[in-house]
Amino acid sequence: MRLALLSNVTVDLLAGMVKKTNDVYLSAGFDTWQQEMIMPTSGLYEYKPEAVVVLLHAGAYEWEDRDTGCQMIDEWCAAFKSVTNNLPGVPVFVSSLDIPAKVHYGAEISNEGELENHLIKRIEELHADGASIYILPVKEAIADHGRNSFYSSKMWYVGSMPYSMKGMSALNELISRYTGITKGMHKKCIAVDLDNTLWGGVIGEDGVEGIVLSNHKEGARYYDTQKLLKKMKNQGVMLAILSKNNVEDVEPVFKHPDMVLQHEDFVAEVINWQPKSQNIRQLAKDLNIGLDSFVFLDDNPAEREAMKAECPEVTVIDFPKDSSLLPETVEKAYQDYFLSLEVTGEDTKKTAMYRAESQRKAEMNSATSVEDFLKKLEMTMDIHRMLPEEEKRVVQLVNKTNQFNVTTKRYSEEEIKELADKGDVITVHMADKYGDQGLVAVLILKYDGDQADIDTFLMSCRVMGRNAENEIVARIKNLLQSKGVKSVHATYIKTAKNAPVESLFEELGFSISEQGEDRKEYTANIDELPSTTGVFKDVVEVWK
Amino acid sequence: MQDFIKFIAGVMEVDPSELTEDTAYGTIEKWDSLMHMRMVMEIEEEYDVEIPIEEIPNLKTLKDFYKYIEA
Repeated sequence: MRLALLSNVTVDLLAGMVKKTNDVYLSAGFDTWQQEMIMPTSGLYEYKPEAVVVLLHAGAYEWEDRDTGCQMIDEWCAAFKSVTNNLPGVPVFVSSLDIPAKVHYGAEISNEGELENHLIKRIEELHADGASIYILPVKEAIADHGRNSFYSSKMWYVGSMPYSMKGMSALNELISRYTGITKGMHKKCIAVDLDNTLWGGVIGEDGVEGIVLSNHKEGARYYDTQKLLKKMKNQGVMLAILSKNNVEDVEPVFKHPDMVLQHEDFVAEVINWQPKSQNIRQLAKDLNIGLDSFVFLDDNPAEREAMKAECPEVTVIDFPKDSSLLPETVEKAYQDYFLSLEVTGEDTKKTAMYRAESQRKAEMNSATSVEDFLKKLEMTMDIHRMLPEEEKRVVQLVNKTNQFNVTTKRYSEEEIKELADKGDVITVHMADKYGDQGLVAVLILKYDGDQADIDTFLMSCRVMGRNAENEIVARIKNLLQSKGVKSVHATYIKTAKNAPVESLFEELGFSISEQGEDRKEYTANIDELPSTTGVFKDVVEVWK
Repeated sequence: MQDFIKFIAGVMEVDPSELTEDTAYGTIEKWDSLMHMRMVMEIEEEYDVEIPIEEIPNLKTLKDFYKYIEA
């Protein structure tokens, strides 16, 4: 399916895994998931996904205290509202947060649980309002695997990729499972044996008093299994009995004090001495569902083999040799085969109903505008000619930036110094309310009479999607005007990685003067360049 | 060494003939920063070694990696 994978960390390697079974959209830039959701013209919407997965790594944020943490989560909801409004009916899966307690030090009252639950609460509220938004239980997967196994500090520090190979495999599996649900790939009925499945022992021989079934100690493994099956039935799963027994031998068991399942829990009780494969075919007809909608639970290996041979469409659960594992086996079967996103099976009707509601509410609610979102970041910018202490960082950026890089020219330190002497090498620093991004953009200008040429324009992926490029060019305009420049020339040279800037200059008001297969030349009069954006809290522009 | 090259070719999804022991990070299109991270992870899994973060800048060519896992 067409799956959009958004995140606040680098998930390219995970996307590579998911790509093996799906078509995947990965946004440009770093931590641009909110912009992708808020901007109606973003790549996300152009892609027209069938499902959206949002993977949020808590470790990428500072969690200072409950109030600021909850506030940040509430701000995220503006983005969630945007995406569910703009893509009604498309399931959006948001990962549950894992906020390790070691983020807090000393004797502070730890509140990670509160923060984690705050996100879940907000998602539930959106869901109750009719949005197709769900929690992807990543925190559960992390608990199952253990943090030490799920995360990789090394990959986090080397590439802003917090997950280990095991972590990524687990995420891949989780994503597959949950997005698979939306394609209606789940089963409808679990057909269960009785003896040594719903209780220990054989009812026809041991009688009601002799079977093993109790709500504590050994007998509880069957009691717990029955409780699970009952929960499944309450979730809409059909339960059927498929047992080789005499009806009159079975009947008394329903009065056993620890017999959880009762007659009304079963859609059918097929109790006879015919082959089970024959019975299940008849059952499929009676219930008007396909054989491939069945899951079969039976302790007897011979019965399981016979079912596999005669009805290969039926999914046969691998009954554990150690029956203390029976409840978790049934739980896993539920996860694998029956998990449904909605409690009732009326998905399409509900979706259509809420779609209308949603559009109406969209008019009323303020999801948020791009401008609001950017202003809330409280960004500041510092733009000036390269200082000697910035040279090393500039050379580094020039040689490693790939995505937001219009010409991808690589220069040595000597060459940069020469370019600064002959023309101008401009550096841009940025910060926002969450921290300082440092030196994030470099512009190299060359001059020829009253024409300036943009030789290089590159920016760190961390500040993409923030209109920084517009602000930068607006500020450069001031410099150029002071130098008497009348027109500006720019170039885009296509590479495998810089598709995100293919239309950058068009968006900045330039016109194409020449176009080749892998190259575009642009020109603009000085007054055609953009004005300042108005979303920055403060910009320090120094041209001396 | 040849088996190692075959393994790396599998990870990069290239033909083994395109790689030599001197092939280095950044010299071929496939071996970018993401692939470098992936290689470290896949090599750790496959060869049951641990490559600490301090070592990573020293591992530039396939020969470097191979010598590391041999040690």
